[in-house]
Order: sequence, then structure tokens, then C-alpha cells
Amino acid sequence: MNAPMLEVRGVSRNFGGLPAVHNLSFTVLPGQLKGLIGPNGAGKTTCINLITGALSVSAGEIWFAGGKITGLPLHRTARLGIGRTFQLLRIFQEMTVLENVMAGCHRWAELGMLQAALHLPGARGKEKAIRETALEQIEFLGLGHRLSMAAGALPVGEQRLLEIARALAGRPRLLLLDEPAAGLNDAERARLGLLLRSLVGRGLSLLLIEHNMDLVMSVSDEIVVLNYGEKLAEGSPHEVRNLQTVVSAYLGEAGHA
Amino acid sequence: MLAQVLQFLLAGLTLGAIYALIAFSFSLVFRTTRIMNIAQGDFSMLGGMAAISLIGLRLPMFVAIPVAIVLVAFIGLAMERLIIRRVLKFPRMMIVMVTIGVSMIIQGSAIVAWGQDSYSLPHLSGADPVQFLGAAMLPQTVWILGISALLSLAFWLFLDRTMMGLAMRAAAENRLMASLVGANPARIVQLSFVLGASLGALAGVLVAPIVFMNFSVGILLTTKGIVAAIIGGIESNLGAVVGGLAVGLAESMAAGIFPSMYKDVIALTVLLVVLCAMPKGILRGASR
Amino acid sequence: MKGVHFLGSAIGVAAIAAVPLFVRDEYSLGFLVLAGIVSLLVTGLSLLVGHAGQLSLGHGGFYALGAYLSTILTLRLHMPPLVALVAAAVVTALIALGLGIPLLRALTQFHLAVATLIFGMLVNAVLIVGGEYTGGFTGIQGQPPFSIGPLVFQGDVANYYLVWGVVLLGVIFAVGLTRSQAGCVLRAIQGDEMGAQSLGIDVAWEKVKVFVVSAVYASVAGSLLAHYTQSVTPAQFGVGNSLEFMTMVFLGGKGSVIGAVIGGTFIRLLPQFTEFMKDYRLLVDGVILTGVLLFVPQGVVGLIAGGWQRLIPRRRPAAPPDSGTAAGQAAGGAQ
Repeated sequence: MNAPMLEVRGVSRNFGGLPAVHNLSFTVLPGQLKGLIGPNGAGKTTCINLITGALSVSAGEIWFAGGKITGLPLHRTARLGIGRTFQLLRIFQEMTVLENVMAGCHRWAELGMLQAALHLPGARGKEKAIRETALEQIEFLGLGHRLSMAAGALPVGEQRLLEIARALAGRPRLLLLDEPAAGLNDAERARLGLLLRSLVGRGLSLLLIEHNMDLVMSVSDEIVVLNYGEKLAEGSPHEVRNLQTVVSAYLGEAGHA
Repeated sequence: MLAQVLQFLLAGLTLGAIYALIAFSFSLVFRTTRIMNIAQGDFSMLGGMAAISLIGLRLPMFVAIPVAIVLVAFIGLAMERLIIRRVLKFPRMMIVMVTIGVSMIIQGSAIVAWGQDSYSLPHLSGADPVQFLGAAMLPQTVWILGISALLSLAFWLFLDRTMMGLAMRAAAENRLMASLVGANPARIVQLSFVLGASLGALAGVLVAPIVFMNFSVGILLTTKGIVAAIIGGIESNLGAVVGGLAVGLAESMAAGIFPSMYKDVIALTVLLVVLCAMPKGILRGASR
Repeated sequence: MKGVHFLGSAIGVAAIAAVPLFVRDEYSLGFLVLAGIVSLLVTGLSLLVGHAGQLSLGHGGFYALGAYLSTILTLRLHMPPLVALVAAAVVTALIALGLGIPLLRALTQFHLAVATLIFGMLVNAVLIVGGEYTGGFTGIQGQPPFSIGPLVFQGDVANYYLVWGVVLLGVIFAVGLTRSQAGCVLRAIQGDEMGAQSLGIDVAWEKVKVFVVSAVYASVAGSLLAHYTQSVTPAQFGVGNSLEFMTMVFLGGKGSVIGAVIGGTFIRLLPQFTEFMKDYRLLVDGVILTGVLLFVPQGVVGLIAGGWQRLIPRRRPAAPPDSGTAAGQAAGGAQ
């Protein structure tokens, strides 16, 4: 089955007349790791916000797993199976690592209030499944030794892993990662790269926004390049890396800096 | 018939001007400190009650009123120094609760000082209505509309056109940056509270002759002022005026149509409906 | 740790059950009944404040709805009190739903705070001008005592057990809620709303649910009040009362259900000692509220829990100081 997991069709978004994203189209196939790169301000985070529904589109459509999701609010797209991590971490600081990840199971394991409060039999089964799934993700991300630590007390690198674990706990089909390597050192970044590839190996589709060229180039199957909200190029890392337009877009930014 | 409509119109504008002043003070404090001060209306109550007491002590009106306003300004200063200063770093919810606590303290003190009775202040220039286009108009109305208009203009100019005003608004957005360019955020918070209290007290003094003042008037005024600010958009100077007048006129019209016994119920219902219908609430028009 | 909590709870329940054996005079017992009623309301309110992070300045309105609706249904329509209580709770829940849905869409807590303030004042105003429906200023008297089938709760002792029995049920439900996945969701919302949304949590709807639950607690408390005091007047349900309930929540410790009971009972104590200083009630409440917020933001329970934590080291490092939720977890017991 090669129907795209995610399809962005001619999407535009204006902020008071200024186009943040303009006529953007690209797809992410099932089991593909797509990188999304571009200079600062190119519209990458806006793009993710549009896909998840945190922002509404000014024009265009977004399709996910064969269904139209344009205009759906944030919690609805999450329910459909789109997970995300944030550039500026949004973990639950005062909850423990375990609780953070358990919260991620909400998508598939919601309990009614009455059921939950009175610990009715149906609830107990679900709560067990939630706990097991959470532990599984925590182990997978290598955070097993931090189970009962308050999330806010973790070092940044582990907080990023926590956010990924939390997103994975929801068993998403598509994972959107917004600069997950920010603040990581070389070793951590390398581990992250391996992690991302192993997620793809599990059948997950990934859209990765990253500034770090080494990481993006080494893990992505394909890359989309944005500049000033428009698609500049799309192709394999090798193809994209050598395109003159891409190089000058980045150099141009550096030149003005 | 026309005269009657005009009557209600004038009453509505009068009340509306008072609500506009309160909305303005509320918005002033919010725009410069990001604090929503629920005790705002209580400053008006204090202003009115203090003026009443001072006049009761045989002070002439032109002395009693400024003294009352200054006293309330000091209370605003005290509130800032003793309480607000300590809670600036608290989460928003706690800050609002603190202002509620202060409101309770002010109201509670008012009960102790003046009991639960209602009082009234003499009009600024006599209580005899004047004929205006066939309707009877209180001279107090002229004072209220005139002073409100002047003050609104003055504050608009201040906040939008002077460096000080700009600094105050900037400090609310980003305290660190503001202090780096030489503004003193702490002083700004202080100034805002004092100004807000003074403005509120003035509104209270102006409205005291036509409304009965008692300890509980504050919270009702605050509520109407807040809704007025919400309607008009809290970041906008004009908004406070528009919102205030809207609330005042609506109240006046309702009082005209329904039996006066239901006045409060109608007013509160309208306020509640307005709040429920505003999709983005108080931050509509706010930059954040 | 769980064993300690269970033992502590068992002792607490036993102590509460034993009180009427030692306290015989009507006055004190009556006061304890009223303390229980208020504690029930404040328990629901603390769920809203501590776990959904919302402010309601008008819970007196829901309290009044429960009291007056129960009154009218039992006196005028001759319904059995239990049925009336449930009916009143359902109506209150619907009203809370009607308020909550538009109001909790807004981004700030302020919106709900002001709206509930208005709501409380509105209910009060309606009661006053309700004429023959609500009895105006004098209210309605002569409610029958509460009864469940043939079991009639007449007198202080019977009502004491009835009320505190309901409080026990209310506390069990509330604690059960906070410790469950549902509680986890609520804490997530308080942690980071957008983060919670990205997990599929419908933040607005969750808040509405808690709001409705807290309103039902208030309604049930109101119904019990009506049948116990056999008199309802608008003066019992004013803005001052609503604000007093909030004071109780913060005094007890805003994340803690047990704290709500403590706060509810403790503040109820005050007017008794200052009966002759009735005028000072609002002032005292204000001082308590401001003082607690400034100096003891974690509330009485947080204070005790803090002391407890120093005695018994826990696995988890202490959470940041002004988090009522952490104190609440420590007091109510986290997983």
C-alpha cells in the first residue's frame, strides 16, 4: 500500500497579509522519514502547527491516512494518530516521568470519570495496559532509571527523550518532531538518529524538522526544503544537498547574519 | 415620548461614563502590569464613602473630594507595596485570588467602619434638574460626562503619546527589556496602582450623589467595568469608553422597559450573556 | 506508604463517627453538621480549583440552586427528598453545563472567574425578587427532614451521620478521581495545555466536566442544608459566601481533597467564636485568604505534608514550592 500517510496540498497561511507559508505541497509515505529543513523563519514550525490543527489554514488541504483533516482542532488530529514533539519543550514539569508518559496513552485509553474514580473493573484493565505501555516506551527511550523523577528535574536531553516517549505512548501513525536535537550533544544526537531510524523500522512515519544538517542528512529518506514559506526543493538528501538554490538560501541567511 | 427616551439616554450615558472610567482604570492596570485587579471597583466605593464621611465632618466639598481621592490613592499605594509586590511572580490564578482577598478586606473594613447602610453624597452643583431638550437632566450628569471625557482624553494621550506611557506599556510586555532601556518596572507597577486607585476614587465620588453607596457597591462596579472592558477590547482606550457606554445604555434601557424591581436581575443576566457570547473573552484585542 | 494512608483514613473515619458519642450539646453538634455540609461543597470546589486550575467565585449560586430546588420540589410538589435531591442535582448540572461550555472555551481562567461571580449574584438577585416562587427576602421555611424511604433523618445526631456519610462518599469519589488516569489528565492540563492537547486531550471539555461535578457537589450540599435547617433565605447564598468557600479551598490547600474538608470545617469555626463580631466576617475571611496566599500558598495540608516529608524521605525529589498540586499529592497520596 503506497497511499501517502500525510498529504499537504497547496497549503497557505497568512498572518495579517504576510504569508508565513505559501502554496506548500508535499507528502510523507508510510514508513518514511521525511526531513523538513530551511533557514530560520522559513515556516517550518508553522507548517507543523497547520498539520496538527493548532493553526488554521488560509488555503489548501491536508490529508492524513486517506482522510481530510484540514480544520480539525489540535486534540482531534492527535486522536486520529498524529503525535508531536515541540521545539520549546512542553512536558508536564511537575509530574513524574512515568505520569508524563502515561498521560500520552490518553488517545487510546480514555476512562470515563465515574469509571476512573471508582476503579471499576473495566478501568483496572485499562489502567494496567496504560502502565505497561508507558513503561515500554520509557525503557525504549532509555529513561527507565528516571521513572519517579519529576520531569522538570531532568536534564534537557532526557526531557526531549521524554517528550518523544510520551508521544509514542499514544501509538501514533505519524510523528512530527520539531527540532528534537536542540540542546543535545554529539553523542546524544547520534543516539537520537539511531532511535529515529528504529522508529521507522517499526512502521512509524516521521516528519522531522531539524537545524542540524548532519542529523537530517543522515537519517532522512527524503528532504523538503522551505524558504520564506515556499517549497524550494524536495528529494533525497544527496540530491538536495548539492542544489545551488538550497546552498544559497542558507548562505544568504548566513551572509545577512 | 421623545423626552422619555432622551431621559433614559442621558441616564444611560451618565452611568456609562462611570463604567467607562472604571473600565479604563482596570485596563490601565492590566496593560501596564498584566494584573487583573478585582478590587478596582472597591476603590470607587472607598472614594465615595470617604468623601461622604469627610463631608460629614463638616469639610467643604471642594476639600473633601480631593482629600478622599488622595486617601484612596494612598490605599492603592499600600496595596501595591504590601501585597502586589510580593505576588508578581505568582501564577495568574493566584494573583487574581489575591486581589479578591484585598477586595474582601476592603469591603470588610467598610462594613466595620460604616456598617451595612447606604449613604449618599450631595451633588456637586445642586440637585435641581435642568431642562435639556425637554428632558430633565441633573447637573451632576454634566460633571460626570465632562470630567470623564477629559480624563479619558488625558489618559489616552498619556498612554499612547508620551514616553512615560509607552514605557509603562512596554514594561508590561517585557520587564527585563524595559529595565534594560532604563524604565523601572517596579515603579511602573506602583504608579499604575496609584493612578488606577485615584481614577477609581474619582469615579466613585462622581457617582455617589446619584447612586446609593454601601460596602457592596464595589464588586458590582468592578463586574460592570470588567465586562465593559471586555466588550470594548481591553487594550484599547476607545474600547473602555465604548464598552462602558454600551453597558450603561443597556442598563438604562432595561430599567426603562422592565419594572424597576427586576433591574438587578436584568443587568446581571445581560452581563452574563455577554460574557458567554464573547468567544475569546477578555484577551480579545490583547497582544498576547 | 499505602498502608499508612489507609490506617490514617480509617482512624479519621472512626474519629468522625465517634464524635456524637462525646459531643452531646445541640449547639456544637449542629455546628458540626453545618461544617460537614460546607465541607462537602468545598470538596467539589477544590477539585475545580486544585485539579482543573479554574476559579469559581459563584458556587454559592449552585449551593442555592440545590437548596431552593429541593425545597420547592419537596414542599410544593411533594416529592420524596431523595428524588428531589437528585432532580435538583440534575438541573444544577445542566445549568453548569450551559455555563461551562461557552465559558471554558476561553483561554484564561479570569473569564470563568468573572462569569461565576456574576452568576452567583444573579441567582441571589433572582431569589430576592422571586415573589411567591422563592419567598423573597424571607425565603421558604418548613422543609421536611431528609429521608431515604422509611428512614427519616430528624435531629442533630441523625443529620450528623447523614451529612458526614455523604462527605465520606464525596471524598472517596474525589480522591479516587485525582488518583486515577482522569486525575492524571487534569494534572497534565495544568502542566501544559498545549502539550495535553497534542495527546488528544480535549482540554476545554475536561474542564467543563470538572466544573459540572463541582456544581453537583454544591447542589447536594444545598439540598442537605435545606432539609437540616428547614429554612432557606437569600442571605445564606450571597457573594460573601461564595468568596468564603474559595477562602476555605485555599486555606485547606488547593490541591488537596482532605484539605478542603479541613478548610471547610476550620473557617466554619470562626463565626462561632466571633458570633458577636458578625460584622467582621468578611474582613476576617479576606485577611485569611490574603495571608494564606502570601505566606502559606500550599495551605494547611501542604504545611503538614511538608513537615511530614521532612520526617519520612520519599523516592521523589521535592517539587517546586508553590505547587499546591504536589502538596495535594503528598497529602492525598500519589502512586
